[in-house]
Amino acid sequence: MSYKKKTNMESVALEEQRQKLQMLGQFAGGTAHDFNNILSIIKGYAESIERRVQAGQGFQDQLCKIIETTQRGAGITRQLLAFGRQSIGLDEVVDLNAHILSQKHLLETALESINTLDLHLCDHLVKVECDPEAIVRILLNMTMNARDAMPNGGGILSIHTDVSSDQGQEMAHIKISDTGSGISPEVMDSIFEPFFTTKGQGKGTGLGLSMTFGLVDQMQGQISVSSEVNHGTSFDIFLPMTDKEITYQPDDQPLMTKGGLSGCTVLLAEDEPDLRDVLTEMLTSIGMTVLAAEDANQALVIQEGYERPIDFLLTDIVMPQMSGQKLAELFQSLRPDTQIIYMSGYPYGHDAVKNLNTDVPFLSKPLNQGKLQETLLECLGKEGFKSKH
Amino acid sequence: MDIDFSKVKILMIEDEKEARSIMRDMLSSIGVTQIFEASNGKEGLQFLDMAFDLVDIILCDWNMPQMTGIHILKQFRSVGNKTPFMMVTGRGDMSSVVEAKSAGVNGYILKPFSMIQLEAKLRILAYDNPSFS
Repeated sequence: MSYKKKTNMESVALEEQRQKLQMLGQFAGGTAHDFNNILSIIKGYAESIERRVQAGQGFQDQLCKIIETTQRGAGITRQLLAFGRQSIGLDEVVDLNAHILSQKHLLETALESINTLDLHLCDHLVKVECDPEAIVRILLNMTMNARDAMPNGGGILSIHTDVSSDQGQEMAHIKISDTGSGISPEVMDSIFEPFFTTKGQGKGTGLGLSMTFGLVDQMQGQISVSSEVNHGTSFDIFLPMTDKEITYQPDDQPLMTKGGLSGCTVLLAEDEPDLRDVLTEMLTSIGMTVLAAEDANQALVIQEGYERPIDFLLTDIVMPQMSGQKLAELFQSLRPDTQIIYMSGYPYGHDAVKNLNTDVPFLSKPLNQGKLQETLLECLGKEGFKSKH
Repeated sequence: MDIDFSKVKILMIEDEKEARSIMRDMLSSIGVTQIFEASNGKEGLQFLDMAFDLVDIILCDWNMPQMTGIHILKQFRSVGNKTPFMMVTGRGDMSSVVEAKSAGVNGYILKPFSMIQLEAKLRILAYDNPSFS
């Protein structure tokens, strides 16, 4: 090998290394920028709440903003995790329409309230074999791109689903269209390349569409794009359908309406003040009357002074004065119609929560609102609404 | 700290010996060790007159000859004593409950009751009393 050739090879390697470092720099800068934005928003609203508390004012709106913002952060984290975990499983059979519908709130939050999300989900049962989380990542990427393309608000992001056929194979068709600034023809060929972004220095990771392309490809699907500058962009995603039985049920499917639980009364026994407040908020938000107790003995006192029926006792198991199991026993001796639900930070079967009555539902902390509502509704179903009034 | 029932002093006013015996066993099982007993209203009031500060909670039967639980309660409250008073009775009708509440009762337990029910009711009466911790 001649000295000159070796030098050339070293130059190529160095150039590749330089490009990698440049891409890593862009990626780190974009991610840091996105997280800084999110932290700034949360910090700003938290400080606003502090001021409002001191002034005796309400702060519901600020809390909602913080929750929305953390969801945006979760979206970015999903992207990063997905990038680190390139391969996905196709081990779930998903009802695509139900899955998209279950993500409506997340997508609306990502889109921000100045723009509108329109869902047009077809009447067919559209079943695909996929990783449900991958679908969420794709939808979220598209939504965040649409948001960035419609910065002034008043835009519409439409998600249509339909069924089409490709050489005898039934395909699920997802069309995602926005009314944003569009993609110029010059960059159209590059949009699926890793680290390519038009969002400016430090404003985007350039990973969203490349990852979307990769995920669709892994699901044996296809993706295409059409765009017109100043009129908007449409992505068409086609995924093979399956006849197999559905195996995946979305967590936050909006079947948990206020209807079933609204008007019911729950006595909540939880010694941790912050968690008690969060749970009270969750339960109140679905129309339930909440009687909150900071310990088991107070729970007994509260029920004694409450003359109407109490539908549920939702009790922590490990509490300082008396365990939730003991409380449940005492409580049911006074109110046998009340449904007991245990909750604990310890997993089911742990020494701290052993020997539980297996007929009593058990919820692991941290509690998810969907799971909590589902459990309450299941208990109501068993009871046939007998004590609800 | 949970309620320490060994620190709770209870006066039981009940005319039936068997009922007193059952209630004493239940109280002992719950952990109550300081139990005073009276077999009628007169005895009960005499004890309270001499040593009301020795009693934390009064458990009193409603239906007794000579002096009913309501009479005892009214007389006890008429001298300004606020010691928690639980009526032990078979009367579950609303008018009886209202009558007892009007007379100043703090707790109400229906016969027949279980030890668990008695413990729950005692916990309610003993709640928030720092001397029981």
